[in-house]
Amino acid sequence: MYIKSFFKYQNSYLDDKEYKKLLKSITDFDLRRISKFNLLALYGSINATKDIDLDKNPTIYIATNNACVDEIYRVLKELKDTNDVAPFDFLGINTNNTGFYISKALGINALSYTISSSDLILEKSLELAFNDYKNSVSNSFLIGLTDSSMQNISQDRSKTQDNSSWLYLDGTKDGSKALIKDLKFFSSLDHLNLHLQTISYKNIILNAPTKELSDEILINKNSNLLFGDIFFAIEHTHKNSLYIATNSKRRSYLITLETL
Amino acid sequence: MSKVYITASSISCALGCDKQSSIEKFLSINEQNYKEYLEDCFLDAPYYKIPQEFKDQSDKFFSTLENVIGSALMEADLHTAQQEELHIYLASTSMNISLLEDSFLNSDTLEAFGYQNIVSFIEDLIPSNFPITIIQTACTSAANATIKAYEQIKNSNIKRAMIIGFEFYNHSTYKGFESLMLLSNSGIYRPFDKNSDGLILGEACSVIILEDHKKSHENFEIIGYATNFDNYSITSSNPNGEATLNCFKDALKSANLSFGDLDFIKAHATGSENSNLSEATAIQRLFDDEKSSCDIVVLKPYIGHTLGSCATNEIILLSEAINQNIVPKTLNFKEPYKGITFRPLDKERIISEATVLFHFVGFGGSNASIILTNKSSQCI
Repeated sequence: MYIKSFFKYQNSYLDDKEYKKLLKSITDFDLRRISKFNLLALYGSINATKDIDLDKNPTIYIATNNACVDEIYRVLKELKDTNDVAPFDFLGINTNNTGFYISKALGINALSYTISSSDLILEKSLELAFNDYKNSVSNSFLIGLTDSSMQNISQDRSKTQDNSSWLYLDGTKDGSKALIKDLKFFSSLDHLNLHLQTISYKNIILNAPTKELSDEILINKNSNLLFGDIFFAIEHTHKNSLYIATNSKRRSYLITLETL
Repeated sequence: MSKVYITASSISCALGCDKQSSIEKFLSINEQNYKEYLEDCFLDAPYYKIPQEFKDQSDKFFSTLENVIGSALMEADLHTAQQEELHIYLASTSMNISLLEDSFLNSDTLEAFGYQNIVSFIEDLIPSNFPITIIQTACTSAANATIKAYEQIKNSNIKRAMIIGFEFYNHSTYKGFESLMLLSNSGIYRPFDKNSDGLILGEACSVIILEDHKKSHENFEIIGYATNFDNYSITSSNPNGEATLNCFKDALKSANLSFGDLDFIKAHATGSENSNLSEATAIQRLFDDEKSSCDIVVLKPYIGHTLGSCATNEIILLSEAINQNIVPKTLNFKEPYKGITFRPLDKERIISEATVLFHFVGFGGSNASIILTNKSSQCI
């Protein structure tokens, strides 16, 4: 599965109007009555695919931790104040609309899935896509991590950010940035370490939680050890690179990457 | 390639708090006692409620999940090592909105944004080695979760999976559907009927367990599926029924079946005018193309539209009914749309083995068909 393009976007907070301004410079798509979550997803997915030939029928995976958090908060406030819910506010709390808007804006006809989990949701979505690819269910994928800052909801959550970071992958080598050669899940560090001893690699890139555990991971001493997320890993991939993302339960995704 | 069977299931819905009472009630409803059933259900509002008292939304959410998951695990009789191999999929449209409403509307605090509390609760119940996958595709959520798990088992990537579909009452969803003018005013669910005046929502929680081997002669096998995207509108399907028709045909092809092999199509049949008409048109076009027909089953008048969980709910109800040799009739149907000549099943059918195409449609253009059979001749 070849990574054709990616776009990483993180910002402390922008409101709907500011995202509409940003989007107007890159799309003619009608942005009226579109929720912030959907604007954010459009911004990332359009940027991730603007310079490539996009398959007309990719599968879209929208990875999210908190889904339409701003929109749900607005509806809850309306319920508390007026006891009414406006139609477009209701539609805004349904994440399934996101894929519809992305399809329309990109001129594609794509099945879409909103995906979440306890953590490592982008890696979880990549795993689902990798399975689809292996099982010949689909051959092209638009995968994005989308979450909006919760600063309007609670001061405690002011550290959260707007995030819309996307990758496009398909089965053709031409013009690709890297190859995802393999993607494995390990339910313990012991299992991960056993596997690491059976493979060779030049670079190894660890996400932030894995960095904390790096003393417990049996890393080949001749490899270059780097730290970052999946986007960093793609940028810094050389032939035979490994990216390891571990969660709080010490369970890991291991992604084998290759440049071409 | 492995085979994929539904080896255990459980459900809590308006019909009953557990599978046995739900199926007994389902099979006992007829035109004479239906009104009485609805009167019991619709005490507060036209909404198919789980018939049990709870302290609050949180109690309903977590105690129902615990009971339904526990019942399915017991029926599947999985020992600890097998539970560790379970891949768990959660499917819902409204997810945790009822919990958020509980905290915000009652105490002005917003606890538990995100899904961590739900995931942690389930991880405490089941010692699975794998992270839970949450899939949201509106009313096709549980269908798509089932399909994802099916593909993984079929390709021998995993051995077993649990799909948990749930949808609990919340004001946001109820009032949202009301604002879109999709709810029935009459309180009578009339899918595919010319005089349908909208849908009636319901709550339910159900679990199916999929495994790569059959455990009982009653286990249904999943033998094919299809999914596609209808880009017509966020809230309605293309009136020409094209996407749904293609989904039916692709599912049959995937199962290596001809149309004549089908005993039933379990239609989605939401009750909203546009979706009703679109799906009825697709079924009519299928029958016209095939110059034949099969029975159409509609289940929502029994449990309401249970949104993201409807696939697991409706699969359980119909497969359990077939195991008891009966497919109940479609209630409340009187008059078809202009140009539609088929009528949903208008009297109960006695049958013990069947091949059924289950179809589901979701907001945002999602279509999903899954074919199940308990006929030994059609198991692949």
